[in-house]
Amino acid sequence: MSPFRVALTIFAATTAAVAQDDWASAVEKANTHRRFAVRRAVSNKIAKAGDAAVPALRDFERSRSRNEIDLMLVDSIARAKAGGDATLELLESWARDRDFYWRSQALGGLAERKVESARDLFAAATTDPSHLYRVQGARGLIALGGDEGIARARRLLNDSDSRTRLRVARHLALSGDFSGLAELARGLDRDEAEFLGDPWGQRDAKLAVETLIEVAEQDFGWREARGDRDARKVAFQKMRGWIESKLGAPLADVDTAPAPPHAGGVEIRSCRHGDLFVRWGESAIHFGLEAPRSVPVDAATMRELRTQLKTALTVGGQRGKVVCDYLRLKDETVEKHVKFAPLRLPSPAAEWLKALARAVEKGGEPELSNAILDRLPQFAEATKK
Amino acid sequence: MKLGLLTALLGTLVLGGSDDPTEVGFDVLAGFDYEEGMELPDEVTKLDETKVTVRGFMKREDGGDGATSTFMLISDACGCEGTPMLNEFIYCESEEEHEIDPSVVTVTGTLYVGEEIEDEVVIGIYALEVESVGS
Repeated sequence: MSPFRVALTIFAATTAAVAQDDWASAVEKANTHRRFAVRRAVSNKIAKAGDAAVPALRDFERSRSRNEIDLMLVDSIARAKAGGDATLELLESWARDRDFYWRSQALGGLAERKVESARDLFAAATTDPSHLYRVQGARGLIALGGDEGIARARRLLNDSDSRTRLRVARHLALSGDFSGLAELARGLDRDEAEFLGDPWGQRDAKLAVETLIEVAEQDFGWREARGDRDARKVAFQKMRGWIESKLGAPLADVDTAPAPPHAGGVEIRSCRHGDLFVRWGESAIHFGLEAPRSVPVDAATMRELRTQLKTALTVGGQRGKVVCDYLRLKDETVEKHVKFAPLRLPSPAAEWLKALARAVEKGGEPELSNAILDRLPQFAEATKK
Repeated sequence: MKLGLLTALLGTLVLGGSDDPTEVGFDVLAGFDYEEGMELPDEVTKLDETKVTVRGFMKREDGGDGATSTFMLISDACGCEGTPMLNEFIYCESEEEHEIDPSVVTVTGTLYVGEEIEDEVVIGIYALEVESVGS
């Protein structure tokens, strides 16, 4: 018997509640049930109900908090395409709320439905600090069409974040616009990119592959290649060849320089402020996922910082409930690795990050220093009185 | 070491000896567009009730911290781009409790493949009886 059986009794009760059109109860379960599969199933039912479930969702966010709404529920509603005016109003209110964790997904729901009245919102989103929000803004503009909107979306093919460039290229390609094909090739090139142990490049490569298979309507030998490293590379070459044939020109060589030597780093995932990726070495601090911007720091300062980190970072594992945003801190020299939820970063670690920011400022990069400092309040523990 | 980790995460499918676990990755497990009621592809059904090793990120079902005997194994630590599809996570159950590790972990155990259905709704495809969790 599989472990799933343990959820079935609970699940039966859950679905019975929905069958009675008790949307308040369903919304409660979708947001709070401890079982992922139950939340998913109930979320899908709510999403398919469209406008009928919206009053219960509004009641929930009024009586609790908008940020207690589960990502899966927002995601399900965004993808379902069901619903009328009440659903659109709900999605728009979520998408416009800068403090709502899942505003990007809500904006995606408007893009999915090609909501013309959201055109200005889509356009404004393309300059948002959150890369996911920028992508959904572009997606909406691409879905609506029109020269001005498409031009604005295409501008994100030069975004500073390669994840944005790839995703916008995907949405353009899926709409028949191949102006971002080179970015899909770069997505393939990132297959082995990682950040502090997270193989993020693989996810980008997978997205690029899925896009290319769909738009080219061919497999490139991918299905057979998935489990084999060398065969993957052959499939990638075929995909690059297809892109070059479409572009009518060879793809430019891409800088695939390895990650800078580093002894640790911090990853801040923030839908509100945008993500930040920082690594430090013996005499420099590097910002960015790839092709990092490096700030020189004298070796003595760096040694001191690294020594201080050993005492500032005393815990490991995960601290607090991570829904989406988190701050991950890793000291590779002592293999200490911890992920903090918002408001769970202890004072010593927060102070250490401020010291890191000061070193960056001394290195002549106040903007990058502020990039760290601006994100800390979201994660720092409240001071105990 | 990093290269080794990445190689493992590429999902190299290596059929070992009879006692060796099969190394399987999310590129195979999630490598098809899942639709409810579909016939699952051979490359995943052949793994049913076999011993496997999978690399991925641990996540408690409620996102919380603390030791747990049940967790999801997923390929994306953030999940902000959307919740995993039913073929993008493995529901893991262990006799021991494990702390949620922010690093990529290796989980070994017996994999069960197939739709678990209740009241006409699929609640999962992959379940793993965990024998060990390592780095």
